[in-house]
Amino acid sequence: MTILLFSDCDRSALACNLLAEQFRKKGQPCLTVGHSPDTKRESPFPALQPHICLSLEALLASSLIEQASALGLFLKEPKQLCIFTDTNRKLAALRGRKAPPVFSGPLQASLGDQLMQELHDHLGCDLLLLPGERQKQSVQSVTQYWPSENPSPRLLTTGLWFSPERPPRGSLSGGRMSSPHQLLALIQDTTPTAMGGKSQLLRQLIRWAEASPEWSVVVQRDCSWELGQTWIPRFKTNEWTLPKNLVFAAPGQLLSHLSSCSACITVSSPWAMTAMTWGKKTMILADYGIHTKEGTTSWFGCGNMHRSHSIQHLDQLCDLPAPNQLWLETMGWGVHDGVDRLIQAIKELEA
Amino acid sequence: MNNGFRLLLIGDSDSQLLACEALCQFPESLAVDITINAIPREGTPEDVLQRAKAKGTLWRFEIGQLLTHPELLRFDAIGVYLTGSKISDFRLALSMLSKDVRPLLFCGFNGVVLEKFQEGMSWRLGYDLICLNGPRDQFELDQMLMGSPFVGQTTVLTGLKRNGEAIRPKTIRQSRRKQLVFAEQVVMPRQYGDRAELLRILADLARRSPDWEVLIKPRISPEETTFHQVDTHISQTLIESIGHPPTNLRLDYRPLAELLSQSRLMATVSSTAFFDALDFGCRPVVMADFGLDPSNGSHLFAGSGVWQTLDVVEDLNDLDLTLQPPDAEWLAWMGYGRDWRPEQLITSLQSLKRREQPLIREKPGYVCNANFSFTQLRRDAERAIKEENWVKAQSLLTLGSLMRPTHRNVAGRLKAVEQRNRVLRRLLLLMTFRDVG
Repeated sequence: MTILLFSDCDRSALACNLLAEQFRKKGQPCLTVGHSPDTKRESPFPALQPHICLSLEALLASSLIEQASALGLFLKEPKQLCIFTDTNRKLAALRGRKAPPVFSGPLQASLGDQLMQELHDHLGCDLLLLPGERQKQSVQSVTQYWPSENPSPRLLTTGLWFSPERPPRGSLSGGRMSSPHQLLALIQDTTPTAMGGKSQLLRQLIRWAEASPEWSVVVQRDCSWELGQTWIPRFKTNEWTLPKNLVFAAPGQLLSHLSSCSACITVSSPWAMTAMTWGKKTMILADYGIHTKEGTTSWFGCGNMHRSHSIQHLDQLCDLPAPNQLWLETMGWGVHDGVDRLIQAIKELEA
Repeated sequence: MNNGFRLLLIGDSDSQLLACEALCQFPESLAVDITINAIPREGTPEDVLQRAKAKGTLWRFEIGQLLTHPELLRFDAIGVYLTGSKISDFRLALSMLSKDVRPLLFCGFNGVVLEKFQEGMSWRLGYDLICLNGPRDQFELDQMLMGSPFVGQTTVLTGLKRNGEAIRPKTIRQSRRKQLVFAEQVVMPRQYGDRAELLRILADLARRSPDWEVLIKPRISPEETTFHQVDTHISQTLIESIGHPPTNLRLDYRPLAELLSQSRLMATVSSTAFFDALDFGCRPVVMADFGLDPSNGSHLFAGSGVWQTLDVVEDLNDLDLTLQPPDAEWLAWMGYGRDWRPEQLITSLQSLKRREQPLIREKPGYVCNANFSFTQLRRDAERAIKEENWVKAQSLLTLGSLMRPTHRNVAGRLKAVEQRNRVLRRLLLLMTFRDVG
């Protein structure tokens, strides 16, 4: 029996690919299913082709689903998850068979309101994958009194499986930083939220690049964008004087830049967690405070929040302290056998 | 000379004033002398002010006037119930003084916290004492502070029993009117379509229950304001959604306490009024019609044990007969019960007066919003300008422009301090000067 992993965007395709690789290492047959890369969008991730190209609706009607021992669904539009699981269960009942268990979960380590929204988005699945103990305890705390007719999915902590555990071979540095240094600025689509906030952030990056000419600053978008769509709305290159040592990253290179950078800066990109776990000096820009809309609430207590004015020269980034280990471990880094736990949980659900 | 405990409570919006009022249920033995300061604000409901007045002395000062009030330092403690940045501003203004000469400072939340707990808490860290409702809030806070320098933050659980023990509600169901009170929340649900659907459900329930009255208690009247801005008042939504309501459904502006005292049932999506209903002997039911959506607070109230889809309820007679009491364990988790009372606030404050508190030391890499007051940042920048410390002023104003990129004065002041020409800089500083307190 095979586990099917369905993805419908570049981010979930990467996560499914990483999980499929881990299943393969454990001798567990697995197929990735989903959309082929969207040619109308640029992505910061490598273009990945699923084993089988199918839409979610086509999967529902295909015989593949009947042969699956479990189904991992990682969808951009959460509402579809409930519709799919509900329809699949009804169809399976009509066909006189049991629907394969569905597992899913967020592709980042969140807390607070974001985590509660993620719980709500994934209520339709049988098994909810959560990164760490903190997420599990928070969800359990809220769902412990829920009525039996609205059961919460079974919870499983599976760590940070959705991003590569380590950089590619040859890129581990043991924390040693050698020049020429590169700063990776992970920029986000919806943050900073204030009008003009993105321009201000870019100006800050320019100031740093100018103050540290021996560094190169790579400005990296952390999620896909439409072809030709600039990060800053109505951004005109001729209105900006970008220093030679500041560039916008080419598509598909986020992981490569993450592995080669000396330091990483962001407002609240989830990929900063990967930078931390790969031993990169990481700075969460504290200038935006702890705000739900800025996505910074999950970073409270990480130990890497610094204000931009504390850095005049980028060399100062090399002296930043390591993240709070307790925070990092409880946010998912402490779980290293996620795939074993998942295989075991699937077996129990099948029984 | 008053030898009691002098307490000042500061509230801004109506919900903050209601939170202040709910705290004021101290036994006489504690001899708490209460002053409530309602920050002058257009649209604050008059009955909320009257109720605050009934608790002791009512002041109506702006924050600036309060901070310089000659009697301020004579209070034993000040409870600050303002919005995030103002909570922080007030603490920063008073924390310059030693704890030996200034009143103790505490703060809390207005009723049940449905969202933005971490953000709200981040504004409150550093207060001498933070009031929490119950074990649920304490768990969330412990999780948040684990391993951070803020872990020593002092808290007290004051509970959700907001109407005192003195009330002796009529507990016999038959002695109460066949009335269901619906306690409106202005943003739960938030979407206009959901709000219209909510009224449709209540209207249908009223039609199915002709021997009952369904009373909708609006959170505010059309001319009043509350913390959240609303585009359409419920009276307007009612007309737009159901046109002519059934004769046994109407909006009722009488005080909630009065309605809860006489009605058999109370329905809500996720209002703190749920707990008020219990205080007044009215049996609460939580609307499950909008699912478990956390943006409605339903993920919390789903565990109440009285989570019911009103659209499928046979009629109100049936609901009245079959409705169970709320889950006692859930109530305790939320903070409703005998274990947590406002008087514990006074006990905690008295004990804090006597002992040294562990200081929350700032540590690089850890921030909370308490250090991020925009106003405080502007004040610091102005101080740096006064000292002609242009580098510091520039750095602070740059941060200010990052926080509020569209703030004209900060942008203007930044341009001024960036100017290298002394005469021009002076001129620009004169032109852009604003008093930030």
